[in-house]
Amino acid sequence: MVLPSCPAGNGIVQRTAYAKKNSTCRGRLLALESRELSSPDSSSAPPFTAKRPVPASAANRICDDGVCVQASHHRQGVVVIPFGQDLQACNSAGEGRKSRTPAGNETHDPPSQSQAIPVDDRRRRHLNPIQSHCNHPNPRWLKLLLRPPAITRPASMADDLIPCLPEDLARECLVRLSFDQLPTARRVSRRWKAELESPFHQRLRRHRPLLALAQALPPLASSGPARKYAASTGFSYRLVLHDLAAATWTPLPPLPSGERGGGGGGLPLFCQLAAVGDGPATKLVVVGGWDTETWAPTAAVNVYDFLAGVWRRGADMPPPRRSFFACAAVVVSGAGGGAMVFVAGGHDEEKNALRSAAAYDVAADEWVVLPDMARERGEPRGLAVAGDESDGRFVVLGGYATAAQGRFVGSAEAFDTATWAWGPVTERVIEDGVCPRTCCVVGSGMYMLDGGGSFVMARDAGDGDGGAWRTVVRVPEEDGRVVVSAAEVVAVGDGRVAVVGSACHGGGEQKVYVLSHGEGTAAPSWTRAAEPPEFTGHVQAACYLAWICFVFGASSTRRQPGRRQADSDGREIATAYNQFPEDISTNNPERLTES
Amino acid sequence: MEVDKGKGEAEETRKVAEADRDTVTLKSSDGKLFEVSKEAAARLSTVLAGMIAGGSIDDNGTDLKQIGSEALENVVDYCNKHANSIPSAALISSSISFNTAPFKEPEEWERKFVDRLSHDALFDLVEAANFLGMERLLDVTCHKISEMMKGKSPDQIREVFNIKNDYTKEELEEIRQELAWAFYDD
Repeated sequence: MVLPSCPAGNGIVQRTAYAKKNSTCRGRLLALESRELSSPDSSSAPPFTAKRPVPASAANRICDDGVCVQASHHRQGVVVIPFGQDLQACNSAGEGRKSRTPAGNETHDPPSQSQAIPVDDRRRRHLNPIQSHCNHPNPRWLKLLLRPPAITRPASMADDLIPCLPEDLARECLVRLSFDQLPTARRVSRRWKAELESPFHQRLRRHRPLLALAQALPPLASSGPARKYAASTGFSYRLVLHDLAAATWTPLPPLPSGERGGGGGGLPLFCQLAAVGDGPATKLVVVGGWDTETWAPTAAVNVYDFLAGVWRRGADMPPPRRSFFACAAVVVSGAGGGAMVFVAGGHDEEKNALRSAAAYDVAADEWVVLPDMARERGEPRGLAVAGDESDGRFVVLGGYATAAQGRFVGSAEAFDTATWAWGPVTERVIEDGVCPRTCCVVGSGMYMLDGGGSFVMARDAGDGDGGAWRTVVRVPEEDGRVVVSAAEVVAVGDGRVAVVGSACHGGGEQKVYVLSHGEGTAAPSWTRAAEPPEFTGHVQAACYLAWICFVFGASSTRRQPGRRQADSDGREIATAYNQFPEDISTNNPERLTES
Repeated sequence: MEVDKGKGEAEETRKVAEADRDTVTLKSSDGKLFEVSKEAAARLSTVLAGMIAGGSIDDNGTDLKQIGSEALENVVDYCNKHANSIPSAALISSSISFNTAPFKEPEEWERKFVDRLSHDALFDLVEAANFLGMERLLDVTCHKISEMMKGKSPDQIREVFNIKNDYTKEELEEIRQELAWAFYDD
């Protein structure tokens, strides 16, 4: 194949990034010097004429992305002549004639032209530059100043994500920002904001399991035997994000105080957590709970926006003011962020168990009142079950009627978001008399701790009929004591289950264990992330965030880009929950294996 | 490659011997030569691996005209350090298959390696790593750059990376409004 080489000249080095699945090379730079920026319509002739033969040595390779040519006459002359149609190449050639989309730097040929031109011609056309980039050896800043005005495009500096770093490499850096850096990074420049908010950027990120925990602040964490109500002695809770893979713990900014009509402010006691959305667009929703000062149930809803890094007050939960209700984020097609937060049951301020239910659309900031459940359910467990289609089901499990305070039933009923109605009551999903709070859904099955809290039980058939519970593995022990009594159990989304609890009921140090268990795993095994002392406080509520984030150790642009392509589509989100790579647990410091 | 015929058989023998040697010689854009372990180069760089496999390695120094001597020195330094450190299974697999690549933070020596670099040297190294298809080095360097943004205000980030603040006053005000409840500030 005869390839046009770059003309040597005093032009501007242009680069574009083009990432494609399974690419075998990383040479995605399109670094061209252009003397004359050709018109996009000159498809008949290559925009660059070959002035010298392409050197046959070195890096002439054909890769999935195109043909990489080493153009040896200048320092950064790698040329990738891309194949294919979905190129982020471009036609913005003339000075100042940029055609960037607001969301990023991708520009496309006008569709009519793309269709009309044979592939070969289009390839050549893609040699047209899109982004200007400074090309000069060190010192960069000095060279920049000394550049002749004819080839300087002052506007281009502002357009670079990071000056002097090619666009795709700058993106590689930005994609590694952690969630707590996003709000700041968004304020650096327009380009950064657009980049961080663009779906393209979000696709580059990868699932990374995060746990949101409502955790007691450390100084008070070890007081009092009555753990469940120890919060009343002045416990102060905060939200902490625990990254299971990196074993990092990051507190979220506190809830704005005093906004709750003279209440104590801060994170309500016994609040429920639910996460809606995806990647940087994730919203963490804090629903209900008790006011920290008055202990009155609150209808408050607070939504944390990871991108902006701020809390927003949501619409209040519809009456009655319920406590200890079921709560889960369930995939609903058409809802903003692909999911809604469902609440059901619980009890009102007179301890009457409730049948009522409601759903919160985070994007619209609206509550929708649902039909009542068939049974009264105080202290039920809310579970989200992915449906066959995009619509999931909200399962309300267990609980007790007003007349049977504390005597839990094992039945469950499910709200189908496709038919927008409650299904029939399923009896004996769990054992009668067992509190359902440790129950969680993993794939099509369920996990929970047994009544004594010392075994993990599993059931294959989800909330439906016929499933029998079996013992999976013993809860980790240290010095002969079960480590995680009164635990929170959270499905981590990749088939694993996180168990959060402490060795003693007195409010000892909380530990997070993760159980890896599945068909591929020979023996169920526990991994434990080391937690710094300030993150060992009592955990009152936990929820799993489908955070997609960069995972160190594999370059982002080489991941399967197809995985998240329909971010706004509830169905894609639902299936993606089950597609986590099983690659996270190998590096945690402690690993316990059940023998 | 041009072989000097005049040197006769001795040259031929030397060439054969060099084909079996365990280092490759790389030549920077400014003509400096660097030797690097062939095994490490092939393991860490997809481009060098392809060149070694394809026989396009020049014994007198393979031209890498895109890479300056300073960056190439760092690349070679990295390869050699890597050859000395016991390669963990994780690192090897990450260069083979990104799907099964385990989560892997930079190792201590890798952190030190990039920490000592100047801003410019780091940027050059990112580009060199990208050009040579060195996944791991690219990870380490990009990670370092993202870490340079950590704990900084937008102003500080702009200063460090020489980014122009192209927000208008109105837009900044809008973002400030958005942050009315926030606890961050410039």
